[in-house]
Amino acid sequence: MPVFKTYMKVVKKNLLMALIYTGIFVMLVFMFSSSAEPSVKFESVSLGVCVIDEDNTEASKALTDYIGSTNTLVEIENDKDEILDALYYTRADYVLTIKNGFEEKIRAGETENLLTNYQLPDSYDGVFIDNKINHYVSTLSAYMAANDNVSEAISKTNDTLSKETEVTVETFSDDGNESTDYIIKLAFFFTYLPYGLISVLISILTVVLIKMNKKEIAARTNSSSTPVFSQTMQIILGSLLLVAAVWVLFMLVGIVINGGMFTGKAWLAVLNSFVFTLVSAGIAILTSTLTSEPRYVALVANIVPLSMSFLCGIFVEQSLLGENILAFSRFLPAYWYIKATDMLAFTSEATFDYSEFMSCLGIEALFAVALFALILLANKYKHSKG
Amino acid sequence: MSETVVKIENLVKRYKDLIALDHFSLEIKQGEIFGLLGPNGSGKTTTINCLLSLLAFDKGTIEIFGKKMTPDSYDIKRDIGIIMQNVAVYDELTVGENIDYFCGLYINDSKKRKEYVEEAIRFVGLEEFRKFYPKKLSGGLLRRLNIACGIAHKPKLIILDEPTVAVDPQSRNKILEGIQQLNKNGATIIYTSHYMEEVEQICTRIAIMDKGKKIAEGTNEELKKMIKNSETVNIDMFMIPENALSEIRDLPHVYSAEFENNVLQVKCDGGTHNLIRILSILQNHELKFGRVYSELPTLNDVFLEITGKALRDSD
Repeated sequence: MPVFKTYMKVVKKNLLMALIYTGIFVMLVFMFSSSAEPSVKFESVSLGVCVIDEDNTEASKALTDYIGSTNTLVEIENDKDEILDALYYTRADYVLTIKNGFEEKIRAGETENLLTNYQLPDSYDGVFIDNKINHYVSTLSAYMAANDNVSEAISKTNDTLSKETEVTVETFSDDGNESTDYIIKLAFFFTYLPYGLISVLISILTVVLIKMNKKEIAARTNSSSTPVFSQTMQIILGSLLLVAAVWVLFMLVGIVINGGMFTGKAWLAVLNSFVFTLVSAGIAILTSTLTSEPRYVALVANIVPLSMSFLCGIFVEQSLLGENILAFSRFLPAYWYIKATDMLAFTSEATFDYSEFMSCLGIEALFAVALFALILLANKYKHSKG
Repeated sequence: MSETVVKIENLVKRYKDLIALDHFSLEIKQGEIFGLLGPNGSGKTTTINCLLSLLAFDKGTIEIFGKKMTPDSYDIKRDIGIIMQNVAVYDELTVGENIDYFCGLYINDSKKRKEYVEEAIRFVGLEEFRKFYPKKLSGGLLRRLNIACGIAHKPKLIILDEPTVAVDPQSRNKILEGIQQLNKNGATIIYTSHYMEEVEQICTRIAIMDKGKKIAEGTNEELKKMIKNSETVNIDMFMIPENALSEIRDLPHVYSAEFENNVLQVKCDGGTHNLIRILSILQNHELKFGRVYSELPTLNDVFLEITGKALRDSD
């Protein structure tokens, strides 16, 4: 198999650019995944809260204790300027005033004008404390309305609110015991994968095919006694092995990033990446058919993956892209790849739907078929031109 | 020298409205170094491509070694070596690997192939460069590698399509000597070129092509006998009066005498002592002259007389 052996030698000598693109891809994944905030992790935080108790009753003291149980209580003078200064200089995140008559009003079933507060405008922390206080007050009101005495109502309220609700997040893995790092890193890895795959395959497969099919060399090999069919089969075999090797290499990178073998729905992402590898191979082969100059390949290896990355939601989330851009990018295979990946990554915009996921894969596969049909057409046209 | 190696009959190749080969016929015998001479675009490379079945043609037949040549004639292709105008080697393979690869397209037996590769390396004188990559070779050495890749499998018919384009004189001579040596070793050679001196130097028979047609065929001598001119006398001088020029024109065997750019050029169609007669007229008129030289007709003269244009003007 002289053609196959030479194919592999040519691959070996042209690996540098492919390795550079692989390095860029790995760097991108590590850089973005390590700088990203965990978007699916819940953590209760302790805030600085000042409580000014004007009522000074059993109920108001119980509310103060409840707030103090999960936050740090800070003391500030009951003066508007002092309070605003404390918020401005972040000595406190929230200032609550329990108004005089708090306990009386709850006992009477009133829930209006019990409390006032100061907080920074549009503060998530403020909304969080608001919710906690409202929850406490409404629970306490309910128990006191049921004719419980204050002490019993406070005790039952504390019992009720001490029960925590268990929250689970559905992501790549079915077993649900993966770490936050696992989710973010894999999501980044599979999202950025099309950029890496297209860049690497164009920089190696396209270059090798151009060199193997160079006009002068093709004339010499085609006039030899090795049948053209045999030569073509040897080149196809070499190309299949090369594409498979690139895909396996990226999956190994994925396993390293993951810190172990994929589990659960991550295998669907692997399947998605395999289908997209076929699309990328189609793009690389079509490029080799359309240009015979290796020096243009570096240009194509930058333009094609970068434009797909910006248009299809690789570098910018699809949910942030304009309608016009999305309408256009539907005609690009990476759009469907990212749509499927987003479903698995459990973003706020996409939830996993098996049939929709398979539809995305089907559309990607159709793109691959269309690309290979174009390659056949382009080759036929070239041959007819002599 | 009697067995026909290549037989082309009435070959026609069209590119839309352009006729690249116009009822072109040719017969090449075993042991010949057959030259295809013609300006660029005359149809030489198209003929070669049709011959190798790299290009489909519209009409005509091609037989090689007595068998019809088709794209699937791998038994015929086994005995053909091709050396194209542009160097066809892999930059990623060394000299030795390149020759081994192209030889491997014909020879499966690795032991035999190794011997053949070594012979080819020795033949083109690349022993010191076998581990070199093509990019490290000079233009001349690259051409030698190109030749080695085409001949390593010991073909019976070797086709060389303008193998000396852009080659320095030293490498050119080495290549031409190599071709003659290959012929001595038993190979039939088809050599295309637009350098008439090379064709004159090595070819045993020549076909001259223009616009897809064969306009003349024969040995070097036969071709030159086809034309009127047998000798051209050139004399460098500052001026010549009209009466002296008329006397020269009236000399026997002189059919043209022109003075241009301080050179008197006189063309004769035979006879002897033409130069002495011309010089005595100049002495009689007491005319001073410098360099005097006489040229025998070249293939360019043949091409010029048949087509009305010079070979090099047509490039």
